[in-house]
Amino acid sequence: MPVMKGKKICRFCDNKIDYIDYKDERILRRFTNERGKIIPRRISGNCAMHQRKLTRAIKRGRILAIVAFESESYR
Amino acid sequence: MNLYETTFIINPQTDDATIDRRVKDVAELIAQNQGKILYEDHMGTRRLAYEINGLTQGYYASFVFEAPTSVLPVLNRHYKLNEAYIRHLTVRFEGNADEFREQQEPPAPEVEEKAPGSGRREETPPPQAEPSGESEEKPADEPAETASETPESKEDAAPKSEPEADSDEDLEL
Repeated sequence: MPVMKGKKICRFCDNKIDYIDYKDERILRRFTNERGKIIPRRISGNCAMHQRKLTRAIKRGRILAIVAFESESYR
Repeated sequence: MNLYETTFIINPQTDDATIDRRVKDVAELIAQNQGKILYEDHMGTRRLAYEINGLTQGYYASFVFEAPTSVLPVLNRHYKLNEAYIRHLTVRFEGNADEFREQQEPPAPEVEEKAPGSGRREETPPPQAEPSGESEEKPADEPAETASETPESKEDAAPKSEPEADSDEDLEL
Protein backbone atom coordinates (compact mmCIF):
# COMPACT_ATOMS: atom_id res chain seq x y z
CA MET A 1 0.00 0.00 0.00
CA PRO A 2 1.54 3.28 -1.04
CA VAL A 3 1.82 6.09 1.44
CA MET A 4 -1.32 8.19 1.38
CA LYS A 5 -0.63 11.81 0.66
CA GLY A 6 -3.35 13.51 2.62
CA LYS A 7 -7.01 12.71 2.51
CA LYS A 8 -8.51 11.73 -0.81
CA ILE A 9 -11.26 13.97 -1.99
CA CYS A 10 -13.76 13.57 -4.73
CA ARG A 11 -12.92 16.25 -7.28
CA PHE A 12 -16.48 16.43 -8.49
CA CYS A 13 -17.93 16.92 -5.04
CA ASP A 14 -15.28 19.49 -4.32
CA ASN A 15 -16.19 21.49 -7.40
CA LYS A 16 -19.90 20.84 -7.01
CA ILE A 17 -20.20 19.24 -10.41
CA ASP A 18 -23.42 17.36 -10.67
CA TYR A 19 -23.49 16.37 -14.31
CA ILE A 20 -20.53 14.87 -16.11
CA ASP A 21 -20.74 15.53 -19.83
CA TYR A 22 -19.79 12.64 -22.07
CA LYS A 23 -18.68 15.12 -24.72
CA ASP A 24 -16.09 16.73 -22.47
CA GLU A 25 -12.90 15.14 -23.67
CA ARG A 26 -10.68 16.72 -21.03
CA ILE A 27 -12.56 15.28 -18.09
CA LEU A 28 -12.90 11.85 -19.66
CA ARG A 29 -9.20 11.73 -20.56
CA ARG A 30 -8.23 12.77 -17.09
CA PHE A 31 -9.86 9.73 -15.56
CA THR A 32 -8.57 7.14 -17.99
CA ASN A 33 -5.06 5.77 -18.13
CA GLU A 34 -2.84 5.61 -21.20
CA ARG A 35 -4.47 2.35 -22.24
CA GLY A 36 -7.87 3.93 -22.14
CA LYS A 37 -8.93 2.11 -18.99
CA ILE A 38 -11.09 3.86 -16.44
CA ILE A 39 -9.06 4.78 -13.36
CA PRO A 40 -10.46 3.02 -10.28
CA ARG A 41 -12.01 4.93 -7.47
CA ARG A 42 -9.36 3.68 -5.10
CA ILE A 43 -6.80 5.68 -7.06
CA SER A 44 -8.75 8.70 -8.22
CA GLY A 45 -10.51 9.21 -4.91
CA ASN A 46 -13.90 9.83 -6.47
CA CYS A 47 -17.00 9.18 -4.43
CA ALA A 48 -19.24 6.31 -5.45
CA MET A 49 -21.89 8.50 -7.00
CA HIS A 50 -19.50 10.46 -9.15
CA GLN A 51 -17.50 7.40 -10.14
CA ARG A 52 -20.74 5.90 -11.40
CA LYS A 53 -21.59 9.00 -13.37
CA LEU A 54 -18.07 9.27 -14.69
CA THR A 55 -18.03 5.64 -15.77
CA ARG A 56 -21.21 6.11 -17.69
CA ALA A 57 -19.88 9.29 -19.30
CA ILE A 58 -16.67 7.55 -20.36
CA LYS A 59 -18.56 4.63 -21.85
CA ARG A 60 -20.78 6.98 -23.80
CA GLY A 61 -17.76 8.96 -24.88
CA ARG A 62 -16.23 5.78 -26.24
CA ILE A 63 -19.24 5.17 -28.44
CA LEU A 64 -18.89 8.65 -29.88
CA ALA A 65 -15.13 8.31 -30.42
CA ILE A 66 -14.38 11.04 -27.92
CA VAL A 67 -12.19 8.72 -25.86
CA ALA A 68 -10.67 5.51 -27.10
CA PHE A 69 -11.91 2.07 -26.14
CA GLU A 70 -8.33 0.94 -26.11
CA SER A 71 -5.00 2.37 -27.12
CA GLU A 72 -2.22 0.38 -28.71
CA SER A 73 -0.33 -1.90 -26.35
CA TYR A 74 2.72 -0.31 -24.83
CA ARG A 75 4.94 -3.32 -24.35
CA MET B 1 -42.63 14.63 -22.85
CA ASN B 2 -39.13 13.60 -21.92
CA LEU B 3 -35.78 15.26 -22.11
CA TYR B 4 -33.29 13.75 -24.49
CA GLU B 5 -29.93 14.58 -25.84
CA THR B 6 -28.85 13.34 -29.22
CA THR B 7 -25.28 13.59 -30.47
CA PHE B 8 -24.09 12.47 -33.86
CA ILE B 9 -20.99 12.49 -36.02
CA ILE B 10 -21.19 13.32 -39.71
CA ASN B 11 -18.59 12.33 -42.25
CA PRO B 12 -16.52 15.49 -42.68
CA GLN B 13 -15.60 14.60 -46.24
CA THR B 14 -19.09 15.44 -47.39
CA ASP B 15 -19.42 19.05 -48.50
CA ASP B 16 -20.44 21.77 -46.09
CA ALA B 17 -23.90 22.23 -47.54
CA THR B 18 -24.67 18.55 -47.02
CA ILE B 19 -23.38 18.62 -43.46
CA ASP B 20 -25.62 21.57 -42.76
CA ARG B 21 -28.57 19.83 -44.26
CA ARG B 22 -27.95 16.66 -42.26
CA VAL B 23 -27.84 18.69 -39.05
CA LYS B 24 -31.05 20.45 -40.01
CA ASP B 25 -32.65 17.13 -40.92
CA VAL B 26 -32.35 16.02 -37.31
CA ALA B 27 -33.77 19.30 -36.03
CA GLU B 28 -36.69 19.09 -38.40
CA LEU B 29 -37.36 15.50 -37.54
CA ILE B 30 -37.59 16.40 -33.88
CA ALA B 31 -39.87 19.33 -34.61
CA GLN B 32 -42.12 17.24 -36.84
CA ASN B 33 -42.71 14.80 -34.00
CA GLN B 34 -43.98 17.31 -31.45
CA GLY B 35 -40.49 17.81 -30.11
CA LYS B 36 -39.00 21.06 -29.00
CA ILE B 37 -35.30 21.82 -29.20
CA LEU B 38 -33.95 23.47 -26.09
CA TYR B 39 -30.30 23.69 -26.94
CA GLU B 40 -28.09 22.96 -29.89
CA ASP B 41 -24.37 22.62 -29.99
CA HIS B 42 -22.42 22.45 -33.22
CA MET B 43 -19.05 21.31 -32.05
CA GLY B 44 -17.66 21.16 -35.56
CA THR B 45 -14.90 18.95 -36.84
CA ARG B 46 -13.01 17.10 -34.15
CA ARG B 47 -10.43 14.37 -34.18
CA LEU B 48 -11.86 10.92 -33.55
CA ALA B 49 -10.33 8.91 -30.73
CA TYR B 50 -10.20 5.92 -33.03
CA GLU B 51 -10.56 5.39 -36.72
CA ILE B 52 -14.07 4.80 -38.03
CA ASN B 53 -14.31 3.48 -41.60
CA GLY B 54 -10.92 4.96 -42.35
CA LEU B 55 -11.88 8.40 -41.08
CA THR B 56 -9.83 10.21 -38.47
CA GLN B 57 -12.05 13.26 -38.11
CA GLY B 58 -15.75 13.82 -37.70
CA TYR B 59 -18.21 16.65 -37.61
CA TYR B 60 -19.97 16.65 -34.22
CA ALA B 61 -23.30 18.21 -33.38
CA SER B 62 -25.76 17.67 -30.58
CA PHE B 63 -29.27 18.69 -29.60
CA VAL B 64 -31.00 18.77 -26.24
CA PHE B 65 -34.71 18.45 -26.80
CA GLU B 66 -38.00 17.71 -25.20
CA ALA B 67 -40.14 15.21 -27.03
CA PRO B 68 -42.44 12.23 -26.66
CA THR B 69 -40.89 8.77 -26.78
CA SER B 70 -42.18 8.22 -30.30
CA VAL B 71 -39.39 10.39 -31.71
CA LEU B 72 -36.67 7.95 -30.81
CA PRO B 73 -37.40 5.17 -33.32
CA VAL B 74 -37.90 7.78 -36.02
CA LEU B 75 -34.60 9.39 -35.18
CA ASN B 76 -32.72 6.11 -35.01
CA ARG B 77 -34.12 5.04 -38.34
CA HIS B 78 -33.07 8.31 -39.89
CA TYR B 79 -29.52 7.90 -38.60
CA LYS B 80 -29.27 4.35 -39.83
CA LEU B 81 -30.63 5.01 -43.29
CA ASN B 82 -28.32 7.87 -44.04
CA GLU B 83 -24.70 7.03 -44.56
CA ALA B 84 -23.46 10.52 -43.79
CA TYR B 85 -23.93 9.80 -40.08
CA ILE B 86 -21.02 7.75 -38.90
CA ARG B 87 -22.00 7.59 -35.21
CA HIS B 88 -25.05 8.60 -33.23
CA LEU B 89 -26.18 8.42 -29.63
CA THR B 90 -29.47 9.46 -28.09
CA VAL B 91 -29.75 9.38 -24.32
CA ARG B 92 -31.92 10.83 -21.63
CA PHE B 93 -30.59 14.25 -20.76
CA GLU B 94 -29.46 14.32 -17.14
CA GLY B 95 -28.06 17.81 -16.92
CA ASN B 96 -29.91 20.88 -15.80
CA ALA B 97 -32.38 21.81 -18.52
CA ASP B 98 -33.97 24.67 -16.63
CA GLU B 99 -31.48 27.24 -17.84
CA PHE B 100 -32.25 26.34 -21.43
CA ARG B 101 -35.92 26.85 -20.78
CA GLU B 102 -35.37 30.21 -19.14
CA GLN B 103 -33.41 31.39 -22.12
CA GLN B 104 -36.04 30.23 -24.53
CA GLU B 105 -38.95 31.87 -22.78
CA PRO B 106 -37.82 35.29 -21.60
CA PRO B 107 -41.27 36.50 -20.43
CA ALA B 108 -41.26 34.00 -17.57
CA PRO B 109 -43.30 34.47 -14.36
CA GLU B 110 -40.46 36.36 -12.73
CA VAL B 111 -39.93 39.32 -15.00
CA GLU B 112 -36.87 41.04 -13.61
CA GLU B 113 -33.17 40.14 -13.97
CA LYS B 114 -32.99 38.33 -17.28
CA ALA B 115 -32.67 40.43 -20.39
CA PRO B 116 -34.96 38.93 -23.01
CA GLY B 117 -32.43 39.26 -25.81
CA SER B 118 -29.82 36.94 -24.30
CA GLY B 119 -28.60 34.71 -27.08
CA ARG B 120 -28.72 31.09 -26.08
CA ARG B 121 -25.66 30.14 -28.08
CA GLU B 122 -23.51 32.27 -25.82
CA GLU B 123 -24.42 30.42 -22.69
CA THR B 124 -22.42 27.30 -21.99
CA PRO B 125 -24.24 24.11 -21.08
CA PRO B 126 -24.37 23.11 -17.40
CA PRO B 127 -21.54 20.54 -17.42
CA GLN B 128 -18.96 23.24 -18.01
CA ALA B 129 -19.64 24.78 -14.64
CA GLU B 130 -16.16 24.19 -13.30
CA PRO B 131 -14.48 27.47 -14.15
CA SER B 132 -16.99 29.49 -12.15
CA GLY B 133 -16.19 27.65 -8.95
CA GLU B 134 -12.55 28.25 -9.61
CA SER B 135 -12.89 31.96 -10.17
CA GLU B 136 -14.93 32.63 -7.06
CA GLU B 137 -12.22 31.49 -4.81
CA LYS B 138 -9.13 33.33 -5.79
CA PRO B 139 -7.24 31.14 -8.23
CA ALA B 140 -3.52 31.73 -7.80
CA ASP B 141 -2.92 31.69 -4.10
CA GLU B 142 -1.12 28.50 -3.26
CA PRO B 143 -0.41 26.00 -6.00
CA ALA B 144 -1.00 23.04 -3.74
CA GLU B 145 -4.37 24.37 -2.71
CA THR B 146 -5.66 25.03 -6.16
CA ALA B 147 -4.42 21.74 -7.45
CA SER B 148 -6.96 19.82 -5.49
CA GLU B 149 -9.73 22.17 -6.40
CA THR B 150 -9.46 22.14 -10.16
CA PRO B 151 -9.62 18.88 -12.00
CA GLU B 152 -9.67 20.97 -15.16
CA SER B 153 -6.12 22.19 -15.15
CA LYS B 154 -3.81 19.32 -15.88
CA GLU B 155 -0.54 20.93 -14.91
CA ASP B 156 -1.75 22.04 -11.52
CA ALA B 157 -3.03 18.64 -10.58
CA ALA B 158 0.08 16.80 -11.68
CA PRO B 159 1.96 16.88 -8.39
CA LYS B 160 -1.00 15.31 -6.65
CA SER B 161 0.20 11.80 -7.40
CA GLU B 162 -2.21 10.32 -9.87
CA PRO B 163 -1.07 7.94 -12.56
CA GLU B 164 -3.46 9.50 -15.08
CA ALA B 165 -1.72 12.84 -14.98
CA ASP B 166 0.82 12.06 -17.69
CA SER B 167 -1.49 9.89 -19.70
CA ASP B 168 -3.03 12.72 -21.66
CA GLU B 169 -0.27 12.87 -24.20
CA ASP B 170 0.20 9.14 -24.47
CA LEU B 171 -3.31 8.70 -25.70
CA GLU B 172 -2.66 10.57 -28.89
CA LEU B 173 -2.72 8.12 -31.72
